[in-house]
Amino acid sequence: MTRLFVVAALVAAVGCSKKPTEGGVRLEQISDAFNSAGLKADNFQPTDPTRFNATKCLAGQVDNIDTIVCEYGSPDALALGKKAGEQWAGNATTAAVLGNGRTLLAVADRAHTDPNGKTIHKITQAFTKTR
Amino acid sequence: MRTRSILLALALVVAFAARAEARHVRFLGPHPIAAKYGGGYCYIEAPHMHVYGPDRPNLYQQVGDDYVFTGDPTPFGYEGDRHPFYGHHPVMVDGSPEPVYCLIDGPHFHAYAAPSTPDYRVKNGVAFYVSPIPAAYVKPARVRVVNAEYRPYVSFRPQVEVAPPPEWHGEVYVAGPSMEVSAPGVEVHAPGVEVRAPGVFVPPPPHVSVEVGAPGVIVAGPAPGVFVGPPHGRVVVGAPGAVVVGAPGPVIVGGPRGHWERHEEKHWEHHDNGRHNGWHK
Repeated sequence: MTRLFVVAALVAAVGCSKKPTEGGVRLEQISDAFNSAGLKADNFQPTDPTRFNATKCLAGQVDNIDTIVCEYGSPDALALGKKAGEQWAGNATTAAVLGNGRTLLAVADRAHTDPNGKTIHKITQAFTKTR
Repeated sequence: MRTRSILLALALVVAFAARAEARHVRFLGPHPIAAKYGGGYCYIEAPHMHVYGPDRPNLYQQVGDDYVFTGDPTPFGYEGDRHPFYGHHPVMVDGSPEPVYCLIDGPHFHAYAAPSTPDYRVKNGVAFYVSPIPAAYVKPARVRVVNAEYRPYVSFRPQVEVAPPPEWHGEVYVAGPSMEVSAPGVEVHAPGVEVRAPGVFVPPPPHVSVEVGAPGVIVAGPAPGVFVGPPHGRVVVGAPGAVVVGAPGPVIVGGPRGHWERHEEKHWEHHDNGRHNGWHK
């Protein structure tokens, strides 16, 4: 039942349409890109988008790396979101905050589970290659 | 009173957050990992941050707030494809607002291949950058410190036997503990070569300049010999190893080649091969 609720919440958060939306990459495309790259997305749930100056945000883990993905209405808001993403990363050993179209990706390796960055490289590569 | 306490607490939170953010050091592209964080090589190509700075800052070019590793990754635990280069050239890095240059003399590896542009001539798999590099990026002091960093790692260099293209105007790197010049028209301007086994120490400046008057000059080094052919200006002395430059005969591009271990596939093992639906379905 809880699982169903989470799925419903995620669908509500990112919208039902799979069609690419004008204005750049959207959250659903990022999810597809992670799946295609063989990355496992876990426990993604909506999180407060105002913290990242975004319209929608999801937080979870991708292959055990803390991950936030957000969607924006404007490039200016995305630029502010990057600053917020760096603050969210805190003092993680490794972190990356990137933008692509209207989306933001922030990853933080807080537990040092990715010592050589190969997982973060896969995540950021999947994100930046999404068109 | 209560409002003041809340404001004070907020100020402390903001200050702490700012300090935590300030601890990160920015990198563009892959680079060696600091020894105190386990060493090895970081493979992230996108702009990213770490809580540590570079162990060897001489091997980085700072671009704004970002560090770009410009060197040969081989001695630092890099595993993956490697491509031989010879001499100085631009570094392939995404997202850099200004050009970045590798200043390693002689043969060395990079994880990226030279782009197929007229700026490069690739001879027998070895890339030579034939366009000029702005002097601002090739300061002699910087060239010296970069190559000093790589002096202990001569055995990691590719072994290259190739004649540089005529349009290349770099320095010929000669590996050998000592040199004996036995050709007419060649003058060696160096205060001497001091041998500190097993390597070579050349008192500053670390270059041995050889003025070559004509092509085909043979500079005899220790076995198996060093042959310098093209009429380019300088010979750079390295350490043991065989480098033949200029001989028009067979070409050997060797050295310990890496292999591509797809360690990341361990993550794929846990994947359900597309059966999970992602977060939007």
